[in-house]
Amino acid sequence: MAMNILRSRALLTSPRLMTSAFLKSPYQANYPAMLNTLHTTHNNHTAGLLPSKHWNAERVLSIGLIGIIPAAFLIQNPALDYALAASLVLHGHWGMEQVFLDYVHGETMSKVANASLFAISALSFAGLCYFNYNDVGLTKAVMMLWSS
Amino acid sequence: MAAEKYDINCELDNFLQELLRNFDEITAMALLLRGVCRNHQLLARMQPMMTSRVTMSMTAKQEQDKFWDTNKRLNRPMSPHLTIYSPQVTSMLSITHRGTGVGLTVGIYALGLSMSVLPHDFAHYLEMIKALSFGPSLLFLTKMAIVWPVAFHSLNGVRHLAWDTGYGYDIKTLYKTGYFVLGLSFVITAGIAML
Repeated sequence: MAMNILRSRALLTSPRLMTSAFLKSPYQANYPAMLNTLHTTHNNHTAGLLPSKHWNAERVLSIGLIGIIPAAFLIQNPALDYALAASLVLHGHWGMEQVFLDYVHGETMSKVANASLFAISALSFAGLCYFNYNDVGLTKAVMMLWSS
Repeated sequence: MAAEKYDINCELDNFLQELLRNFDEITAMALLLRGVCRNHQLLARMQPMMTSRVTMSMTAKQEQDKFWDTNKRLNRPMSPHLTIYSPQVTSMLSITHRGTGVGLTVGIYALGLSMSVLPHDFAHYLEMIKALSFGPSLLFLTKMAIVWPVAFHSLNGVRHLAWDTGYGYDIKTLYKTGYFVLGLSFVITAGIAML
């Protein structure tokens, strides 16, 4: 009787228990359903760059600013004034997006905040371009303040 | 998911039925139980199979929604919370980085928006400020107030970029670079403001 039970596969509750795959990993080989419940970060972005590419673009811009800011003041060139305006606004815009992500909660509020930010960033960039085109330009303005 | 749970229940049922059908000796059961219980590896393998199925059946989206719902219900403070920790050099420099960043963004946006709306040109408004005749020390302080956020945010930004490549994370280095960046930002600011 006892030998009967010992020989029975039921003793092991499941034949799966005896497969080497089960012994190696209870999650991968035997339970494909679990693959659907991997705890990944919830994807918040709806449009634009992939988050990883966005992160890279932010770093490239940040490193670029280290060069653009001194170059714009040393070389004093209108093109660099536009580059400065564009990169400062984009850097500020991305930075503010990050701040809003941390401190503005709720779907509606986030949408309102981000839409407003986009509008203000665009208007500011337009304003700075206007200032570069019709007025003295960014770097010259700072130089004028310094020489006063 | 449900099918798999049923699968296991079914197998356990079969197992128990087979036991009941065949068991006329209680000693065999005791032997069996002892055998199973002594096999710790078998038990360890069975445990996640029995329990984690149920707890892991939530998707990441559901889990995050639950997280936010709980935060809302309990009226938990936002993260990163600004006043809950006692101030440290590291956290203070971090919030200063964000503060200077927001301040500079507001400043450059204000310049762009105001200069496109105001009727006169930059020279006109500069003359107006000059006419207020600040003393030289106040002018120096004003220049410092403009340059220091730029200097600090730039230098600490380099510190951030170093972190992004994986360097400078141990506590000693964090403090060293923190003090270095803070000190250098004031030196640079004084230098540029004196130009």
